[in-house]
Amino acid sequence: MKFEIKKKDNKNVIFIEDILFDWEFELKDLEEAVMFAGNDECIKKAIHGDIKSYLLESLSEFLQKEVTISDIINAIKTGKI
Amino acid sequence: MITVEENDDRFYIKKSKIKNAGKGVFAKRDIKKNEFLNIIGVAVKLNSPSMECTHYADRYKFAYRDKDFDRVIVPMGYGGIVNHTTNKQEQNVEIRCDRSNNSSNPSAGFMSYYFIKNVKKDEEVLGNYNNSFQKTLDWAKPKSESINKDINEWLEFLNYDLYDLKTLKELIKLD
Repeated sequence: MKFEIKKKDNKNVIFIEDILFDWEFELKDLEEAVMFAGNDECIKKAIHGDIKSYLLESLSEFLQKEVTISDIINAIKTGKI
Repeated sequence: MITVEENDDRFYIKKSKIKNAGKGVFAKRDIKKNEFLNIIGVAVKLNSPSMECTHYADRYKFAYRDKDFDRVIVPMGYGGIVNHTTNKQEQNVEIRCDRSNNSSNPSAGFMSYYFIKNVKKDEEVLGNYNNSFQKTLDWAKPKSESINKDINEWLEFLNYDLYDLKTLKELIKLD
């Protein structure tokens, strides 16, 4: 499948076969998470992990197949996923 | 032998006002919001003989957030007998983990009861046993492990700044 990164509303977004993968995370939630995490490394990693799994679940659902971060990095480089 | 000594002079112990709760912790003087009571004690590794040998204290143990989430604190100071109430109006402390705490007590870890409101002299210190901290740990452990596994790949991915994800890297820096 064709995989492209394009600019939309000043953001880099993913297009698959010319269809926008419409995804976002709430910046406000992230700011609250920053307050919550403080200096705790485990909580900080958990917040990253939470957003990562949210992204992968959403993209996998969009593509109808399971994808990993490695697959996305590869797709950015090759233009195919 | 380690000697653990509670030396916080802002508190004293007497019979709790909570029915059937036994003893409780009371303020010896007025305490301001954001002061904290360090939970002092000893850390015990989970799934270890020491964990089993301290089963008598199981209901008092605190989850202890360290790198590997593998310890609990057996409290040995006032923190161990702070009573809990479901009445939010009566709650005046909550458990927090704060590595920036500078306690003079060598038996203090990073877990503390933070005062969420001003407390008058002779008022009982009361918290909330809803296990929210444990729930946080239960949530955080698998999520942080998923990042630990492929952290370099994840950081590389964030550099592409898809959907403003670079903000995440900037706001929450990973060591």
